[in-house]
Amino acid sequence: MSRPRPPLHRLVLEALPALAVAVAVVACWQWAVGHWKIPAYLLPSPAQVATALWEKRVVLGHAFWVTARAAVAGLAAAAVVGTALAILFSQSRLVRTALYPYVLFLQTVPIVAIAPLLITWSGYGQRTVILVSAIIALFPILSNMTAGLLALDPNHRDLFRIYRAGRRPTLVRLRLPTAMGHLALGLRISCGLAVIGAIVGEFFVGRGGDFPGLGAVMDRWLTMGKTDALMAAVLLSSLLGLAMFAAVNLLTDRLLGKYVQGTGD
Amino acid sequence: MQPLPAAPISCRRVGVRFPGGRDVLAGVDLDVPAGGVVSLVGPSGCGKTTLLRCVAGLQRPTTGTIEPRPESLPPGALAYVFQEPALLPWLDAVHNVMLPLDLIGRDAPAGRRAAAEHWLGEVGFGVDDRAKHPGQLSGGMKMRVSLARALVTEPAILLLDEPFAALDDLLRTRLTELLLDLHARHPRTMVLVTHNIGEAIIVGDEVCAIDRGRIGGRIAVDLPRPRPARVRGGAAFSRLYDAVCDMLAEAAR
Repeated sequence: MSRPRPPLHRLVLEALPALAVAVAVVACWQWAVGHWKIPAYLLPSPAQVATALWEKRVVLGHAFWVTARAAVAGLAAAAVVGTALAILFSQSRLVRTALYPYVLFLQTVPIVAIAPLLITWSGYGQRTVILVSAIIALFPILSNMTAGLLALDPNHRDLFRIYRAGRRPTLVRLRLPTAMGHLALGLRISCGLAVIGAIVGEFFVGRGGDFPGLGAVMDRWLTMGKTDALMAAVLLSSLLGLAMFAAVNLLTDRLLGKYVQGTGD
Repeated sequence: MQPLPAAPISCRRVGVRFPGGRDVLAGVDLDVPAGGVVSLVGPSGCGKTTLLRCVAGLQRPTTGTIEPRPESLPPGALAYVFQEPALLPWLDAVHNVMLPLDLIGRDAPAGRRAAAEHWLGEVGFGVDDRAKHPGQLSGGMKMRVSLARALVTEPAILLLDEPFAALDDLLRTRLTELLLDLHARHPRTMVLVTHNIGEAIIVGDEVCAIDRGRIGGRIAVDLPRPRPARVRGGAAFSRLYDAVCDMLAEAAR
């Protein structure tokens, strides 16, 4: 029971204003760089960025793939751990009050401060990048899922009590389905954070060797003053975030769509 | 599946005090004979729903006793129809009706499905709509599914908390007739909470007025059954209607 899709021509019409803005911004940017003769190391023109994107396509393509894998793995790990912790929190007020402050604490610690520590513990590799990505992506999933598991319709809760449903059937047949809409929301917020986390992780991991992710190549090109290639990598990072958001939207719509429908009560 | 025999309900000096010290119920005595129907009427906040929730075991009384205790009944022997249909939006109509059987672990899956389809038929729910989800159903259809879900376990006691309050008059009359028809064919002990005096009279063997947590009066309904909608136009109904109004006014003093 997925939501009906708008027709293609409507999607194109809706995208037109945003596309027009993009074209205008790129045109102004190109004109400004030429007009004021801004040096390329400060602000390369869109044409120079496009050239760098083409010339570095092999490195950037591979970096995109490496970062995408890390972000997807980080998001998946955050989804699994966040859901498991949320289930635990929903089953016991004691556990919730004992552990939730530490989850909040983890959320407030700046990831750039603990990334070097994570490298010390986990090494210069993909595993650390995934770990940083997962830590950043965890909180929205955990907090949304916990709220969803606890936000039962009072009538539904009473219905299950009348038929003496125990903890497990109530969790499986009521709490989890009720929370699916919240999980979808958490995943949508977290997918962008997972990309940011992967890139931040690669910034640090890349300093320990020739790491191929987008964050690591951005850091290298920054120190080498290759601003045009750096901006091409930034562009790809944004595209990765958008692609992840679109994929998560599509997946949650397909897999969780029926749980997000209203009762119409 | 054999229907469970109708069971009497007996409430003795039932009191409920909410946190903050407000007495929602104060020493209520209520008897419903096996297979009998009592309608509870009264203003909003008078304690009708709280009393029903106590009988269902959803609210623990602060004082007094209620027989039978819900935990002493076999699972599924007591059913509750909420003011809203309260259907699970991710389940279709059939699976919503099957839910109580799933939860109490009665019958094999095929038997549960057959029972759900039987009761959907009994409440006049169309065969073509059985695979629809609640979001695709009208208010009346959802309430039919909610009724079927309550009846699917063949309960001995059926508690109804303003089940038709959100529906328009025409639909309300139709569903009241359906409820009467179901009761005639499958008698069970029923308690109906309603704001609608006409509905209370048509459905009940007795109408009890509740006001400020106490039973303010009782009137036996001597209309013969069956009670089709045209009964409402008769002199006997009008006399009862006036009597219930007077009782409610007296209880409010």
